[in-house]
Order: sequence, then structure tokens, then C-alpha cells
Amino acid sequence: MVDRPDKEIPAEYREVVNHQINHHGWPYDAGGKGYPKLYPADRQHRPISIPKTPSSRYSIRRFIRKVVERGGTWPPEGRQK
Amino acid sequence: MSEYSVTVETKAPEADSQRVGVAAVEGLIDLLADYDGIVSGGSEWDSWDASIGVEADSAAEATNIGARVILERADQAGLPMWPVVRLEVVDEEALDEVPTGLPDLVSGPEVGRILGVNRQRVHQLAHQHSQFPKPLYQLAVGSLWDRHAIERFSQQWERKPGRPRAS
Repeated sequence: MVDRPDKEIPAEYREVVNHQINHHGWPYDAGGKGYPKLYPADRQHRPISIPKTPSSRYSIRRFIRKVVERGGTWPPEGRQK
Repeated sequence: MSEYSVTVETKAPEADSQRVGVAAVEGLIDLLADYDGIVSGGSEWDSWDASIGVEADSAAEATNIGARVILERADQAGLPMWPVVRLEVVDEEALDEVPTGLPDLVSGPEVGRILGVNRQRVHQLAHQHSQFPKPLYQLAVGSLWDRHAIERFSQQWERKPGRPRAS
């Protein structure tokens, strides 16, 4: 388990992931040879896999929807979507 | 043609003690890579879900394609074929918004109760402990934190007895 996402995931995903780590205490696993995963602090919720090379502009919205379903937030306070 | 997001969620029947294998989850992510698939599941959970992007002429068509792709590939990846408990389709082009969540929030005194410390100690932890969650909101009357983040911190916090050394 590592603390912070790096270049294994796209920058726009990193922002969302870092927000969940900083403000919601969600652990992040870079995945090594596997896929990166984000673990909601509420362990009743399943971890969310993160695509390494998303091809659609809607992919990030699917990811954010998963994050919000599991108790995370986005965008940060005071920031436009 | 529009782009739709299709989600399939399955859950184990009560009598089924089988769990989701990590290798199967990783396998399904591989198999859904062309669809920007997002998969949730793990060995501690009795359910899994997957979401993919599908181009289709209607929500009904997207649902049919998406559910078939997800379930066929989940079977191929070795995930348990539990009953589907949720099937969701979202028209990404028409629904130009992302839902925002409002988590369970706690104030400083509640954080103190969860951690078993007084307000001064909460303030100290918030400013000095690198792992302490950052507040979601900083208002004139005080900060608000995500309750789950504080509870998680409480479980992992290594308390040291006595007063901290003066630096």
C-alpha cells in the first residue's frame, strides 16, 4: 500500500484520488503489476479500480460517480466542476 | 449514437460463502480495458460491480450490450456469477453532470469524542500529525471532517502515553 498516486494513473485521476486521501482518509494502492485501487475509508464499500489508460472523456465521470457513491466528494469546496 | 455508462452489480446469496478473488477482479479489468471498465470487488466482499462505457442509439440498447459484455467477461475472468442486484444506465452526453456527495460530517468536539481527547488535542493533532485527515470545510465557527476518515485515523493512530516532549 503506498500513500500517493504517481504517474501510474492519469493526472485528472490523481487529483481526485489525492482529494480522497487527504480529506476522507482513503488508502490508495498503486497496484504494482496489477491495477491501482482506491479503498473507501468505510470498509463496507468495495475498493475501486482505476483505469491506467482511459480512452473516453466520460471515463473520469464514471470514476467520480463511483467515488461519490462510496462516500467520497468531488469537486473540492469552492471549485467548479 | 450516444455514450452511455452501464453498471452491473451482483451480490452473493446469503448461503454462498464464496468471495471475490483478486486475480479475477484484475482479469475482468483487463477484459474490460477497451470499454474503460471500472471494477469494484475484493476478497473481503460478497459482491462485485463493474461499469463500462458503451456507444449505442438508445438506453435500452446500451443496457443490453453493456450487461452482456460485463457478465460474459466476468464469467470468463472467473468472477462468481451471483444474481444481479443493480443494473444502471446513464446517458453521459445528456446528463452533463457528475453527482456530488455530502459525507457524514463531524465537528471538532465530535472528533474529540471519537478519539477520546479534548478539543485542544484535536487542534494539536490537526496541525501536527501528518496522517490526520484534512478538514473538508473550514468555517468561521470551526472545521468539519469526514466521520469515516476520523474513525479510520482513530483505528490506526499509535497513541503515545504522557505529554509530548517540548521541542
